[in-house]
Amino acid sequence: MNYMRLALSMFSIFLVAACSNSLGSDVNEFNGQSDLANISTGSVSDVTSPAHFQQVLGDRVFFAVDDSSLSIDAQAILDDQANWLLENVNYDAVIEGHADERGTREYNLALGARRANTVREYLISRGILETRLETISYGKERPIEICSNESCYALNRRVVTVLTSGVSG
Amino acid sequence: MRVSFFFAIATLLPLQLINVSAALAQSSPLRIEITQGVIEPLPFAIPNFIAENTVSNEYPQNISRVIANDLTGTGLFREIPETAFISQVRDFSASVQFADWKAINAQALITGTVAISGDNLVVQFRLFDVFANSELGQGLQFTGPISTWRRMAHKVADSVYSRITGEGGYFDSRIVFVSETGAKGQRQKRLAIMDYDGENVSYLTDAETLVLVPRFSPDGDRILYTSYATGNPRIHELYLNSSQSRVLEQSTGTMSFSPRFAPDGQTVIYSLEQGGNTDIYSLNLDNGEVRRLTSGPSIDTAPSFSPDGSRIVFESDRSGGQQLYVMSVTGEQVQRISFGEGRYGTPVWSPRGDLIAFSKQNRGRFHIGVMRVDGSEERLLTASFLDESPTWAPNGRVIMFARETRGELGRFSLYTVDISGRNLKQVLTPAGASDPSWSALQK
Amino acid sequence: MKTGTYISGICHLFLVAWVMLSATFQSEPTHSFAVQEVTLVSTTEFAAIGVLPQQPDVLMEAPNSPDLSTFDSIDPQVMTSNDQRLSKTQPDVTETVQPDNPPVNIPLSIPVDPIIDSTLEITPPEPSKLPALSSAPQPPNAERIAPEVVAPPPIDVTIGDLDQDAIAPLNTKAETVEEPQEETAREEATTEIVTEAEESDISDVVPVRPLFRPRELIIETQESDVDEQDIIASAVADAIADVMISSSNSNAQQSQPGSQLSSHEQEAFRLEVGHCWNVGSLSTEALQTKIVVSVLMRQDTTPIEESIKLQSYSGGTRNAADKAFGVARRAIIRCGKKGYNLPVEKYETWREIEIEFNPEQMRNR
Repeated sequence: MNYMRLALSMFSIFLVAACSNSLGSDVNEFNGQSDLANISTGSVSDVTSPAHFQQVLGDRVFFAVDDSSLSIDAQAILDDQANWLLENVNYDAVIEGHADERGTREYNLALGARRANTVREYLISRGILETRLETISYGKERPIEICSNESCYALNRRVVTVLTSGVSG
Repeated sequence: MRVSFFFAIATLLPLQLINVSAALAQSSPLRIEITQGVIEPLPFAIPNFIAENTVSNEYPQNISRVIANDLTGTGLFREIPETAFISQVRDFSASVQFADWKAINAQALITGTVAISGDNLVVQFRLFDVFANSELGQGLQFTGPISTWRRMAHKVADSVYSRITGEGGYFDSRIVFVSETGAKGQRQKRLAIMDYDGENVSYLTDAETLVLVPRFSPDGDRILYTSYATGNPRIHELYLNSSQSRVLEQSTGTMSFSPRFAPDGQTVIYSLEQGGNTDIYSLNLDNGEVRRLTSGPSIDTAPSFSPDGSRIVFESDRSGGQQLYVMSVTGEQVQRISFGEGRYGTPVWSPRGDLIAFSKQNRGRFHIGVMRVDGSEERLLTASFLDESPTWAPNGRVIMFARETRGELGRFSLYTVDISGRNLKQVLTPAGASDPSWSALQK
Repeated sequence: MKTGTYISGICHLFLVAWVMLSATFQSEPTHSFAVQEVTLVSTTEFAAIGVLPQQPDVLMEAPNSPDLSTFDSIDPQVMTSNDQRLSKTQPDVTETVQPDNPPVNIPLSIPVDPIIDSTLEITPPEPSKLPALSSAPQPPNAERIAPEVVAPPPIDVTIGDLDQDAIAPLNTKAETVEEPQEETAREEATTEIVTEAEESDISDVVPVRPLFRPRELIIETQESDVDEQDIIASAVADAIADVMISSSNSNAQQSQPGSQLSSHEQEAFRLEVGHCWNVGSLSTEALQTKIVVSVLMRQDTTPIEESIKLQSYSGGTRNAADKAFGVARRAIIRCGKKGYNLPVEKYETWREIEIEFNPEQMRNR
């Protein structure tokens, strides 16, 4: 039941994400701490561009409440991310873990780290070098949606793979 | 009616006559047990303190107001307005007209003077137990720089509070917290410090860097907190007198957070995350020695020392959800203490040692609660959309916590509540405020 | 017929007993009235001078007279305040009266301790320079500021067995009532809602009976029986009383020593004092301290303030007991200001009262 709802809401999210440029700009805002600002995102149609990574492949995966396991959908997205990273070796990634606001601050910080690490491990299992992947947790400090409903919470329980310019690049 | 009662008894219980005569023969006093009373604020009167020598009237008035606000703010006292006074106090050393104060049911009377002495303010006060016709404790005098007049008022209120209730006060204390500005999606957070009543706010960090969950040292001279200053969250120590701070832990590939002082002020316990797993560590500030206290794949965080320094309470999701556990300082003898429905987090050991405050999430709501250190007698004191981060007043009687309102305009504010669950009050702050930590009483 | 005989039999029996016993006790009460007389004298004197405040209840509050000094046994502290009271015959001329008191000036001339930069200095005013009032004996421990840090006695709360995860099990009775509302309701302190509701109940409506009666006071067997019997008995007694009063006129209203307080009378007294027993300002430790307080009563049913003494305490420290005593003393004095509803004819039975204040049930409110 819960999963059905979740899957449904995530599906709608992807629809929104796919059509929405504003979401992309939001993402940039939240990536302020990383090096992405230095990277030209390029054109969405260019499959080697970060813009393509963000908006076509999907730079984020979502989680169930108080959970850090990867859904089938999430794994599919991460597979795409892994392939892209394998082909575009000039980019590294910072994996940002987030939680919704329905938890205590410190626990959510740890939960965000746990989620980020799950994604990192998954990408490593798909052949990405450990050294290219860093993690950081923001807990509930950086919600991307600010309503107090499950529709927003579901979007905030996320891990975002933020591209950075690699050592070689 | 009384007569008829009398006869009724006499009629029904002839034997009583014999009993009575026996009782009267030994003339033992009538013995009554009273178990039912009332719980109401105690009415007190505080005529404006008297201005001595050249002091301007402003100080005596303001000081009297602060004292009155401290006392009424506890919910244990109620101020009788000046308009009800029958007699005034114009001479501090004159004797008190107890009958006049009894007549308006003032059960405690506070009188005082304020004088200037060089650069200092001198505040004297006396407390009277009106119905005992006597002074309660000795008169006290406080001397301090004029700028500290609020602290002097708080000290008077602390003395009054403890003389009447029998437990320590908490007014001359401070709060370190996170001041929050900006919209919900773009919060800017700064460490800030203020008096317990929300006055004298000053900021310790700028808004550039995300900071979280500060904690006072036992002496109130330092603050531990978590900062993103170096990229990942790291535990920092800040010296209040110099405003200098330093990173305490920097191993690569980790995140450190949730730092707390031990009662000795020289040991810090905190959470260290590595590879997605969060455990509790202790760090000796004297020699830099680090010790791991918990292990396993669970999230172990939000530790808090018992006041005697022998045990640590913390939260862990090792059983599946967040629950509270107690262990020895060496990380042994781990014992789960919370068993109720829902998720339990951020336990904080009371300065009295008798209770543990916590936040609890259950059925879509958050609560601040207390339980005994063995987990028994859980009581929830609050309920709202989101209540978290409890911190104890120095006397272990009041808890301050952060409450966030729901929705897109949701905002954090600080509240206090008595451990009886009464007297929930907001602490007014200039901006949003979260993550409070209450200092000990100042010296 | 039979009932009539029975009644008259009892009545006669009583009459005989009363005549016999009253003779025994007639002489008893005299010496203890000294204090009261003093009071009356003093108040009338005061009234005569026209200085007493107008409040009628002040009559009860001024247990003093100019010649109080003869009562050596009375607490010196009280005498001090009496003196002061007397010295201020006119409320608004405090200053002019003051010269009589030698140590008037406190002051600022007190050798102030050296002030260390920004820290506050706390200096108790020099005792010798304090006015007479403060040199009187003080309640012990009053100046201690910090609470005992050492192992406070366990909070013996009884809610432990009850459903713990329900919202706010502070007070079980209120909880069951309030819970459903709370689930959907406002964002407030749960227990605040609960306790305040509860509290107002308590403060406004005094329970007809305490929830628990002390064992020694349960004299009758069954409450229902008692009520029934009471009705009959009081009807009977009323009838008898009419006869009695008309036949023995004034004597009937004088002291009637030969009986005990009925449980109803005790109950009434308990409720009266309980109404003023405000434990709201007590520390958690003082709320765990049981105390026994003794008080001597005047025949006009007012308590003699200076006779109120702490007899014993248990469950807490001396300091906690002192605070609890302060609260108990205020209760006895405040609610006794206009006299208690005690049967005057049984004065001997309540001339001296020991009251145990047991806050056990107040703790969880």
